[in-house]
Amino acid sequence: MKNIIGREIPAEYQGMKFKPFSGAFEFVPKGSKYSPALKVSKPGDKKVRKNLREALIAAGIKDGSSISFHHHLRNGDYIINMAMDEIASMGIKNIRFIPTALFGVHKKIIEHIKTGVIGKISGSLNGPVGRFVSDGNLKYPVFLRSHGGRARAIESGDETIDIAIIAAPTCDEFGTILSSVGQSACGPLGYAVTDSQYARQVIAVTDNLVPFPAKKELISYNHIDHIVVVDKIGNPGGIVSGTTVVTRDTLRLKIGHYASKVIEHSGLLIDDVSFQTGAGGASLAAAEFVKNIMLEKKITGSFASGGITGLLVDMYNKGLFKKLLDVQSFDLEAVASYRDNPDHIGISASEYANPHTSGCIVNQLDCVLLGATEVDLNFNVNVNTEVDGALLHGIGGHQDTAAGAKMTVIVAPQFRGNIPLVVDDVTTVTTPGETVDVLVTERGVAVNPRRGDLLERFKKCRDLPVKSIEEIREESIKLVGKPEPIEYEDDIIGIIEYRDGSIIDVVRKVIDKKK
Amino acid sequence: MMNNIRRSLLYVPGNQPAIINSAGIYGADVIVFDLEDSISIDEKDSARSLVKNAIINRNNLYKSNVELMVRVNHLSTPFGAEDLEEIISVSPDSIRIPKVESAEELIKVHEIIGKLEKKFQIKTRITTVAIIETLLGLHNIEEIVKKGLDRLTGLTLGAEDFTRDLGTERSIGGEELLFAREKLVFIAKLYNIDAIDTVFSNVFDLDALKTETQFIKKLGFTGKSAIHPSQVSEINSVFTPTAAEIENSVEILQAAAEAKEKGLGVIARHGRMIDLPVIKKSERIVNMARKLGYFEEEE
Repeated sequence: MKNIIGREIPAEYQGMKFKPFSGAFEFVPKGSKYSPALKVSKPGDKKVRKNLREALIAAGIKDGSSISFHHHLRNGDYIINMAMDEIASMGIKNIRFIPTALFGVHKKIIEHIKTGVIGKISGSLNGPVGRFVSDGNLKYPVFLRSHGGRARAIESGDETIDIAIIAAPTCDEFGTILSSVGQSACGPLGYAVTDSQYARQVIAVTDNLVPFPAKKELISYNHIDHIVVVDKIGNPGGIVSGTTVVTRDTLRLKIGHYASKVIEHSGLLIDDVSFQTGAGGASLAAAEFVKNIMLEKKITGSFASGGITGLLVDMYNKGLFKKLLDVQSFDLEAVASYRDNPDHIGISASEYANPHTSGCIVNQLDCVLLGATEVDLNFNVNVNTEVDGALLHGIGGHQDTAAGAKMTVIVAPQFRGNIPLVVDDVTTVTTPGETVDVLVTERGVAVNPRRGDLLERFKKCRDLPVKSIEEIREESIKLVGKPEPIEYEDDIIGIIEYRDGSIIDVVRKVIDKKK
Repeated sequence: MMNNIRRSLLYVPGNQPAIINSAGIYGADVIVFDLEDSISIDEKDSARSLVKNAIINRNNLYKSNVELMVRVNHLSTPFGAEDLEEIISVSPDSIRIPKVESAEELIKVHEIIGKLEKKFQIKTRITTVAIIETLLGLHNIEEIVKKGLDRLTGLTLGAEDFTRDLGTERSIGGEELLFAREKLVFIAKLYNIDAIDTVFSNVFDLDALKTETQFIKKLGFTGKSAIHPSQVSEINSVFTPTAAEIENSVEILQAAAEAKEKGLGVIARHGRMIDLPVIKKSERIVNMARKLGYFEEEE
């Protein structure tokens, strides 16, 4: 069957039944939230276990268990590899592996897939693991979800977690987790909050055990069953970068400049504006330009949200935002700000972006800047697959913020090498075009025809090269030609879930012509 | 259609396809493809070929109002003649000729260009800009311009080589270049061609670039070369008339037109007399504003 954006979705695959995507806000959920089993604790109970193995046994690990992890320690994380090695050494097989995201440091996971320790994956993939899975080395397709979609899936019971393993920069002896202090401090553990609340068992792994009571941040002792102390949970050098520096790459600066003009002329850049941007080159450059416009025009925004960078902290410090709503810190400035500044508020993934709640932060956003690997003539965006069809990137908050913000701006170079950004049809739809308003490249600004109001505003601006997306496409073809179409097998290697639980696209295995 | 404005002239190394492809997005009035100093000897051929392709493909790569100029190697090198032969065949807008020291040298290059234009049936006359980068070149500058006016539309200073010839070094204040700059501007203005200033080498110091550009504009330069895309907008901002300047110039020209219509010998505005140089300056400003599209909506 085809979903509403024309993507071919199987009604059923490997015993799983799929609900086709029917529009960004069409699906209305029914029923109740999932409930994890009740627990009991008695006076004098101790939570600190001798080691990870003892904690895993106490948590009831067995073949086929679902185990979740979070990615706040980023490329400095030791815990995923440590835990999966331990699980492998226990002879456990067929784990359902549920990370919030993976990084290069987790390449070792490939070995655990090969040996059958990991049987299924729900979560973002990175380069090497993505490449391995794309080659058809996992029996079951990977489920990819946005940050809000993952929280929704857990809260609704679509994704059940047997054991959540939480890397805790600091933990008290009763299980209160702090992530703003300790040798591995990393800012708020926004993505791990839902896991801690809905998993059947929760293990905190820390390298900084402190006496009870510690002041609660996002994760309470109320949900922690077992505590394990290790020498180090991560490498501080890989957890956060020193300072997120605005690019000197002139091409990305050009994109950032145009994007800032788009925001300036959108009518949204007024007092109490709310804003989100990632840490990519063009997005950060845009934020720097927006900062200067806000300073010049004396605009005081309401909040900046999402992954927080030093640049957003700097904007707060200059009085440009009243609050920072942080689900994950990207650099040392953001970590220090979260620790020291009461207006720098940690939020959970569910508070951030879960569509099936009474409200999430993305719905309060005026403007978001997002990246893309491909954009098609209907403004559908691909951030998951590369041009060769390989599943190499996660969704992050892309679908969520695009759906929530009043204006979603995609910023990306028009070419990566000889590969054009704008194509007739994207390889994979991650985010539907109905939630995307503007595309900004170094050569042009295209406005989704749904947003005639923005088009009228931008056409009046001398400093914006407004073009139709078809014109950008034509210009690209003239310069680099059309890429060869990819040929696929029938096997599905990845399922791209929309944030509401419907299926927006599937990723099929690419035919290997070398064979 | 090229608009003949030369506020910013962006150097682009001829051997860098990615930079060549994106060179048009930064707003430079002139893209100067370099085949000379930035290209090593073993890459001269490939650079020539890449630059040729860029010029052939100009409609896709660059806006129609961007001037495409090529800095060729000196005729005394093994590459100069071949550069001209290959590049003229695809009809660039202009050629930047390095190290011009005498009128004879320039005339020789102009003759070669003329022959090649005929050979390749080039319909649009290719113009030249001479780089003065030695003491001898500066000494002979008036003769060079006087005898080269059939194609020469601009002069530029090559400060690195010039200061070496002078036995000094470039400084932030640029005192060592003052005489050369003043002489070059004087001759260029005398013969009504463009005076284009040398590059500012520190690509990270945009504030200092702006200060230098404001200074050379005061001297009379009409534009400045850039070696990095980030420099283009700074240079353009200095050489672009402000909205107030444009408005003021329009009013002056209107007053002049009214005075002419009424047969008045003296033109006055707000009680002050307007003399011919002010009118000429206003014409220049309004012309530039028109070419930059400031009056598009009215038209």
